[in-house]
Amino acid sequence: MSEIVRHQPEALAIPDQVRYAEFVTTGDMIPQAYKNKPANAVIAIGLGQAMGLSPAESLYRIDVIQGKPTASAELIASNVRKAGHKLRVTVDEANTSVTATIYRADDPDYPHSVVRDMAWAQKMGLTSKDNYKKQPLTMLQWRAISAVARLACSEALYGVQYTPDELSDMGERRAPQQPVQPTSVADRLKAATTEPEAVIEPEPTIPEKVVADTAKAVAEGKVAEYTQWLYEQDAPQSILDYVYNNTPKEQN
Amino acid sequence: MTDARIYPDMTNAEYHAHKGALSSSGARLLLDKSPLHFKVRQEKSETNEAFEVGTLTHSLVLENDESAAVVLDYDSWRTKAAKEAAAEARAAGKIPVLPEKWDEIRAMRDAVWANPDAALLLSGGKAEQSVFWKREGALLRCRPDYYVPDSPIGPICIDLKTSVSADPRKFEASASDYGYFHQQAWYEDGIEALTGTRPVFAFIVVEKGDVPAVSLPELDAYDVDIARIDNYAAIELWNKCRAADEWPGYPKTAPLRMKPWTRKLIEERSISNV
Repeated sequence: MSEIVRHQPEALAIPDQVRYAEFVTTGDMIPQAYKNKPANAVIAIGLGQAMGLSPAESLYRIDVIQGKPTASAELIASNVRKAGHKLRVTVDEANTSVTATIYRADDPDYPHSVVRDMAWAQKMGLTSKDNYKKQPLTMLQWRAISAVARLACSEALYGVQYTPDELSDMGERRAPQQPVQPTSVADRLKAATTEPEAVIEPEPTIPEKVVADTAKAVAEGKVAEYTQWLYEQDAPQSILDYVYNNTPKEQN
Repeated sequence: MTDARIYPDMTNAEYHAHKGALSSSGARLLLDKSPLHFKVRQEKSETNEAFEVGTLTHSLVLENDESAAVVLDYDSWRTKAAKEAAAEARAAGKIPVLPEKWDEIRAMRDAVWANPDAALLLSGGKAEQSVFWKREGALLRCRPDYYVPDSPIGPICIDLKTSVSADPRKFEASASDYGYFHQQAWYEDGIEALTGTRPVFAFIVVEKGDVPAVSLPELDAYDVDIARIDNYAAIELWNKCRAADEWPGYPKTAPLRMKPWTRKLIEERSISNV
């Protein structure tokens, strides 16, 4: 029988964490989230320390997304196991869905499971994302692990419950659907002042009876009477125009 | 007592003489400094060269009116002759200006009118109208640089600013420092109180110096709304001070703290000395 012995890094006192953070956050190798932000680094070091991570490991494995600490799915999985719970991940035969299951140490007969498949990703609006196109199963696997860990043993996650991509996705969904570049007052005024394009009305159709009666009136030399009669009938302008344009001018 | 309405022809001097009505700059003085500062400054009518240059720029850009200026052919105001000529111009109700400054102001006017967006906004309205309205029993006032009452997008209120930089990224800082968020909210409220419609507000910023660059930055609506609430606090404070005729200076505070940086240095020193 072999036993995994884990080296526990030495815990730093707060003033040492502060000094350490102030020193390392000016370096080039520091992740962007901590660059010149020693206060964030101290929080990450503190969280990492609770998880048994060294200060440097904390800064690499705990990220800050939208002002919140996040842990990689690997770190979440390792925290679950470190707390004594069993984590099992299975992929279905068709390679389309991932099931993550946790058996708690204090309740081993009751498994907690979460299934993540592409139908779920589709519903969440994630399938168009590059990493879901390139490595869908890996993405689904990490999502299943973080979701089941929150469900079954959130106390083992030390308050760092989401992965960076989960929080980014939430942020994207929360972001208001507004144009990035608002329209300026001058542009709005220009748009309101520009005349709308002229709408071309379809040519009105002239009833056959009008065409025939007009021809008859011309033949009988009674255009003036016919026009008068049309006026009295309240004929539409299009018909009056037709008669005017299709009769000899001396008869009008 | 001035009625609540728009006065199209009130002069600048008449407007500023209305001490019984609170202006946007008065409201900021009450909150940013103290009622005491407000009271003392209200009783003075200060004028300086920067103010005069501002007045000239406004009449030239907004109304193309050069009549207020007397261009005096000196290099500076340092000589006795220059000072006397300037005093004489002021006595005649004019604004003395040096040729170099005058050229700069004219270049600013040309630059604003060469900007199609600025030129579009500065049409169909009137410059320098005085607006008086009431809120919470207080008479309030503002004087929009240019006001278009009925544009196709509703009333437009335009404010012309001359600035060391017209770069919108730098103007953002000036807008906070000089209370432009408060000013926009104040003017919007004034027009809205009288017409029932909140106007669209636009800034035209023209750069001072050798390059009269023009920009039309707009302020974030949420930040303007925060400033609006601050304005209401100023009105309330003004009402309180007037009712009691008490104009206190700076308020009492909690015990003062060391600057965080100094405290950190001292704490670190004490840790390393242990």
